[in-house]
Amino acid sequence: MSVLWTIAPVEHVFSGLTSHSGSAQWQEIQVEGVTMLVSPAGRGMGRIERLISPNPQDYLRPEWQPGQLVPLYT
Amino acid sequence: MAEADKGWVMVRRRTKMASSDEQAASWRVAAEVQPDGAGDPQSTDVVKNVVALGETETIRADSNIYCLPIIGQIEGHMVLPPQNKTTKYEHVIPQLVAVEQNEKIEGLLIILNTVGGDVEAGLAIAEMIASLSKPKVSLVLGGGHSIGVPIAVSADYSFIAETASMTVHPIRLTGMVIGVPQSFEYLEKMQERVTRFVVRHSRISEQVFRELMLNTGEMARDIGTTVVGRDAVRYGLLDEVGGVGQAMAKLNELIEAYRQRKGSAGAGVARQGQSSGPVMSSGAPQPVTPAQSGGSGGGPVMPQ
Repeated sequence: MSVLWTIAPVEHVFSGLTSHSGSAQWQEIQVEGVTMLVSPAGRGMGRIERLISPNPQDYLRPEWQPGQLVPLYT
Repeated sequence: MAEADKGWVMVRRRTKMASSDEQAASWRVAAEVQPDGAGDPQSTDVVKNVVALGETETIRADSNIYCLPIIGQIEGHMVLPPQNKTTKYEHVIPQLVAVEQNEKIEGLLIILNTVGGDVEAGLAIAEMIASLSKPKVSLVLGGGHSIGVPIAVSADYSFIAETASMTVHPIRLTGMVIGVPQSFEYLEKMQERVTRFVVRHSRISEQVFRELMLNTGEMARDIGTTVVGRDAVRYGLLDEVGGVGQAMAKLNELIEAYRQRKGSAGAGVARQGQSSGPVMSSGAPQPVTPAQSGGSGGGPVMPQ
């Protein structure tokens, strides 16, 4: 049971529910305890799409900038 | 140089996961890369770090402030299609627990830019923030709509950027409800929960909030009001117009006060009077009612 309260139109919220877009491939991984969304880049590596961290300093780390490669499995 | 930089990252990642054989190999890689970076003293330092320690922790600075961005749609029980930018309940709630539990963290900064989303997930986040014992400040940038409103007011002190807006409108049935057998009364109850929370945690009165919510004539497809920057402060919804500078200054001020209170009064007394709205609203203007703000056409028309 779930009630949405939003200014976004319903058709917008649920568009793409059935189709497979590029971002569907994103994978959520943890590196050094920090959550990030990555897209597969082959050879066990992932390309960072989005960093999810409450520590603002993490966003300054050069190796965690969007587009950088991180190992998917450590 | 860019190539070489990429090299560092690869080297670093490899050393992290490598067995000792592979580690030795990657050190050789580092050694090979070194001549390229020789002109840049900083990058040669990095190479030395990699070679010596297998690690480059050159800029690891820990912050005593946790920053919680609430962006896009707020996702609850239902997983939204992947191209939506969402803030997920399961990401946010553990972070808030960590903020409460970790002794190094002294304050929480919540940055909102949301179109709304799941009511119960939003209320859960808002209640978690409101019940944290540490100082917290919220900042609405861009937009804090619908369920973003209770989250914005849940902090000790709330800021809104001058250009940011908040839409106050009713929770309604228009195709938004999935799998709920109860209809009108159920929505009424849900609305009541939100309204009560907002009224309890801000300076706005229930009557004004309802008037804003039921205003016809402002929105094309819905009833309600879009409150921009200064008006959010005038109505008493948020505390002050400002940006990240003011928000951080306020948070540091609250942290300082919190430290002193903890130091002098000891544990236990620190949370007196917590539910009585914003902690420091002394300098903020008195909220106006929509009727006072003038204008024609009935309902709250925006003052200049």
